[in-house]
Amino acid sequence: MPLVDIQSWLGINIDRWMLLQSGEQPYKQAARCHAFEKEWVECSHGIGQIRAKKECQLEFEDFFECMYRKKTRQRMHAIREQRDKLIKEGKYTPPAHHTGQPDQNP
Amino acid sequence: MAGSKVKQDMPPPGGYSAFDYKRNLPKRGLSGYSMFGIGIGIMAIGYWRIFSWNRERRRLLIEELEARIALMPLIQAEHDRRTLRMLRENLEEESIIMKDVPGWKVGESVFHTDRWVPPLSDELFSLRPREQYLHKRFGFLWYV
Repeated sequence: MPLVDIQSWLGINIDRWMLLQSGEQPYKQAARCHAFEKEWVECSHGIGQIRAKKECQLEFEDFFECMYRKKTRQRMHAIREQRDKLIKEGKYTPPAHHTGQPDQNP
Repeated sequence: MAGSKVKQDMPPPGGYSAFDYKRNLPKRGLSGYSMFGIGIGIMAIGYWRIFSWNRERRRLLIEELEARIALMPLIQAEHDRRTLRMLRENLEEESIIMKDVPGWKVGESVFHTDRWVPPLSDELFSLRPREQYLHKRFGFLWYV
């Protein structure tokens, strides 16, 4: 893919090992977003950037969400705000397991 | 001057007795070589003890890792049950809280895929007191 691939011409691997989260990791420890990245890369492999941006939009959004969790945090924030509003208005009391002792039952 | 009739402070007749005035640097103790030898010998004994204890510690560590591997299914099952229970509780709370909010789909997944995505401790503990979340996150640290 690059014009002059020095590393494969010389047979060395200076930084190709660190390019992808889904590459080979020490102690075989998988990244948290390994599956999402793999899906995205497999979807967009070999079809060029313009087509990939159009066709792999969903996979990319999932991968981005896994990495940064923006939508998750927005949801949590909305729920918490609504809960605080309801508590202030007195319409909602959190159930027992959401306050007090941490429950350790499975 | 006044001659020999004046009382002067003179040594006693016969002079003083002899005393030691020469340098006294006795040759004593171990030689340098033997001191080095003793030091190196003590160090060698120390190294041997440390190395053999380290080997023993490695064996003990392997035993502990094996025990962890043996208990893994149980621990993983407990952890999974706890996660699912917390997710269920959060879902029910969410359905109660967001009842009157327009356009809110309860339990909607933020991902387009329907693969199981392990929830963050952020999500699991989001409706609980912050202390529990901090305990989960920072209660046990691998590093010191």
